[in-house]
Amino acid sequence: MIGEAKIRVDGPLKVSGGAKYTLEFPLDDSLYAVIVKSSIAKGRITDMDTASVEQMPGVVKVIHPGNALKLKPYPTGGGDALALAPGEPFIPLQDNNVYHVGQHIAIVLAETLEDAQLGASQLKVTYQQEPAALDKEHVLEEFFEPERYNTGEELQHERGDFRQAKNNAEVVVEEEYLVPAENHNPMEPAGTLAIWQGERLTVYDSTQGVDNARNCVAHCFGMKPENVRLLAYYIGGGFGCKGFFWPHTLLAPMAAKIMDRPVRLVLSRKDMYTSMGHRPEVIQKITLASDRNGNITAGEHITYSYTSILGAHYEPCGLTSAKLYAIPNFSMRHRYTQLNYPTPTPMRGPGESNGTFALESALDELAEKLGMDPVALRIRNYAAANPVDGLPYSSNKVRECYRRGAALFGWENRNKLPGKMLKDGQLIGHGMATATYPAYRAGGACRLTLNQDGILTAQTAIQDIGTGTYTVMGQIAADALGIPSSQVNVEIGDSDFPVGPLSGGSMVTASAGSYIQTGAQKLKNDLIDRAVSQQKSPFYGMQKETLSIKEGLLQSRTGVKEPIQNVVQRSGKKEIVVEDSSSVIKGFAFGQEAEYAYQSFGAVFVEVSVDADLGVITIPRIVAVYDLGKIINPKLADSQFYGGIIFGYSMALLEATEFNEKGQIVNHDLAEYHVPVNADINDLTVEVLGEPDYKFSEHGGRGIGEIGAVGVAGAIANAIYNATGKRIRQLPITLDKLM
Amino acid sequence: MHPYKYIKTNEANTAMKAVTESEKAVFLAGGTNLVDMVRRDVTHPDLLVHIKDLPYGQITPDAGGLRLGALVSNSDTADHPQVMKDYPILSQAILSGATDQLRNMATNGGNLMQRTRCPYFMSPDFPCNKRNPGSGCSARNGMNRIHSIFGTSDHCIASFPSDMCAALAALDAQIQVRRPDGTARSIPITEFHRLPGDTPHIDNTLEHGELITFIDLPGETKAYAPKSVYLKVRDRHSYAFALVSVAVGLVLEDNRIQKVGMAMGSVAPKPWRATEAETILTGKTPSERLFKEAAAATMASAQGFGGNTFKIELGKRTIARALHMALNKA
Repeated sequence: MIGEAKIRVDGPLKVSGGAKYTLEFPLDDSLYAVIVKSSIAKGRITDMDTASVEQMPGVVKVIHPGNALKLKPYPTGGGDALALAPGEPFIPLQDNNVYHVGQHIAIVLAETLEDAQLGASQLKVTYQQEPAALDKEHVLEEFFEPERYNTGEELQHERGDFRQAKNNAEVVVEEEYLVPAENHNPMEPAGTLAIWQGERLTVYDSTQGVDNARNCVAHCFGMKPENVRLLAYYIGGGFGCKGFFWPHTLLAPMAAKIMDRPVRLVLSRKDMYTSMGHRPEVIQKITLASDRNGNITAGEHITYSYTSILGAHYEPCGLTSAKLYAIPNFSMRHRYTQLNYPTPTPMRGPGESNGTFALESALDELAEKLGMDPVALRIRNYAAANPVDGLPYSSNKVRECYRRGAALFGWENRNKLPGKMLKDGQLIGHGMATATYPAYRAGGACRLTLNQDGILTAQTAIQDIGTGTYTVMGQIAADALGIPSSQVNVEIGDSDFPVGPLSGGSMVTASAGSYIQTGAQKLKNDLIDRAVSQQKSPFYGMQKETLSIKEGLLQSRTGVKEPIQNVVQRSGKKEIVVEDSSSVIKGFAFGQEAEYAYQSFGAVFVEVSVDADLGVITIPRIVAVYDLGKIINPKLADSQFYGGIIFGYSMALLEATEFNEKGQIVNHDLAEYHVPVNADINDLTVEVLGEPDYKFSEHGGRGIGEIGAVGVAGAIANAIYNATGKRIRQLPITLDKLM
Repeated sequence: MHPYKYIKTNEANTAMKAVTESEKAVFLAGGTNLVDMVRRDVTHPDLLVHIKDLPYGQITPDAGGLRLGALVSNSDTADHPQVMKDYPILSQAILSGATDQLRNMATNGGNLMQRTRCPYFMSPDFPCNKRNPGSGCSARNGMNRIHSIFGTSDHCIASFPSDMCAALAALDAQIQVRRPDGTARSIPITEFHRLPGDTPHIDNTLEHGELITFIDLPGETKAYAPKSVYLKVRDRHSYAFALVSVAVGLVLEDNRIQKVGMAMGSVAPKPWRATEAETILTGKTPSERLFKEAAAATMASAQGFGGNTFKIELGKRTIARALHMALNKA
């Protein structure tokens, strides 16, 4: 039921190994595919010694630009292009050009994984190398300013007169912040299995979007979408890198077609760093100007970053800054250059987590200059409506989040002077930041089938990336129909089901949850209609309004009760099927008119403990309070919040993808690319206001996935300043920066 | 991964004979480092000789000290009551490294034989003189946060990451080795590993086919136990190699430091005995000022390469802190 802290239905399967992930599906007579990747950042392949690799034991074939299938390019602009969401509109092995280190340039197929790996490592490739564009600071001199982000939001925005307001202001903060490139590092590396049966293709793929992935495969192979079935029953995390469609998912079907055998394509951890996007490094220039009382009159946020030669991801760091506070004069610019790096892509809180590090650090600096409490400064500049378009927020309870968070944390005990709080010889610091993330809701459809045993099967082409989607959809369907959730069977992760959205933008629960909810209500009405019109029904001839369904029993006000499956049995059909759909929410698409701005909010409070000599940072506790509508399942929600907060901790203190001067990634594994371990994480306290937002979704819930990661890095940096008096504007904050 | 042969034996002579028959043959014990390197194409042995069943799996009292079998797991060594009582820094050092799972697999001999985690060494994508002699050193002008500040050469600045060996160096451990010709020899821990010079591909003084059998802890260094500490500074709170670590034991008499053993980890291609600090401390009355002086003396010869230059200052502070902690240990 909605609001119940149910354990995840797939939990027992996952801990017992019963949940099969992409690469675990057995295939008869399959070949292993390992990708050969370019070692240079720019140039042309002039030769590949495929013959000697093909002579190696176990190796069956090398597929390369000379013998690869020609696939259909992605459309550019307009109708079809909008229906497909590739991470980069690039199809490998179509020519000899190289655009970045790690580009897929050949596939080695062998009878075992080890033989394929050895073959791939031995393939000699000759290049004609060209000078590559790798200078990330080049964007400061030469850039372009794209109009929109992929959600439709405008990337360039001016309101009022920023310059004049800044010149008239009494207090000004003007600083530069840097967040390095990061990689997603989901626990499960991606992979693809491809099986052709005549004209039909089945693909198992670790993806956050089965429907989009199916459409991309069908398009590139020039097939009807119904002839491609794409499956992802369980996904071991994605964080954005499995969100859009990446080229390796084309290579497995290509190889399978050429060889006329099923193919199992495995990406290594190292492959993951260059094959499925990364969060690009961002330089951010922020200006905040206010009067003596802390009314911010002018703001500017300039984002400098890069996209690749092949793709067009624009890390949108300033979007949040333009709308989070009621700043009358604002200038938001997003500037990019194209570099010979692998294509960047959204990563949990894309633009929000790194953007708010800069914004919320700058607010802390402003509060310091004003001698004002950081919470009070934020409350003073509260925005009831989105200042970008003037639309009122459907609900903005961020002030309640600040107050509740401050109370839970004990914010009043904070000494605002840096370096004044000590405990056991360690410097203690308290810092806070606002968390926020847009609420998105996409369209989609479901099929609900009630059988003669009273079991409801809900089918839609969404996927569970580890967040608990199976469980939550079951709760919503059960709640809306009036049956116990044990009677609901959720089937997802299959592109043959009715269309469903990507697991991205924290939108699946709101999107699919809404149409599953209305679908179940429709089914309930259908059952009641039948019950009063079936002659043998005990409800025959009753008023429909007097009937209801509770705990799987159809019941009348007069006390007649019977299991809902009796309606199915009397219908003479094996099952009753209802389909329903919903469209994208207004405002979440190009050029649509909207009534409200939809946004979630929160407040994050952090205590840090710093060893003044050694610089070692410990975070004893984090308190966060969120306003994001109704919670469908508090237990799963907490897991999402904890994971998000830990993600933010990681951004603040640990993560950085290190490119060298040749465009190679040096720390492409979990030994040198640090993510947090249990010993890093101490007390996490999360609370949710929980007020439903029915303006946004049927069940009143918004999304959870990303917001937990937002605000944390800023709050940690601010707490470190409070502890040490050192303002670190470049992440990650490692101990050497505090020595 | 290159194909290789595998044999398993419980007989030391058979194992040594098998390894001496091919230049590319190696002993396999816990495999926690070797298997990674084989899988990642860093090293290409043609034969793995699995020695886990050889009879070096005991910890026994020996000549007033303790004899650690080379094949005792790191976990069993750290948890051994005699180690915890008489050589607590060895236990602390082991437990500060890796994870439970890795320590359960890893052996004492294997810990000595582990190789650097320099990312350029660990990936065949990059030039590395240690992995591929003559190809160049990518770390000198590259990402060198975890690299050495002592004992480097123009050819290599990799660091030896073992926590356990830093403690062994402070404790004057002796490494017992059996030779293929049936004889045996004993190597002080500080002479077991070698500096890179112009042959950085050779990590230690063991000859091909020689087998580590025991690690002996002398009775004399038991005296450090009451005033000793292993302090590890790293980038995250667990499961990370040290940036700097210090193993130190003090013997105090009449408020004077009568004897001191100190070694650093992850700052050099070998466990780095802090002899300058030991000289300054010996015979003196302990004070924070003395500790700082000793720390500065040890770090005086350190050299940074950009990304790791902070380790010089961090090393000073870590030494001073470790001495402070050891002195004030209850």
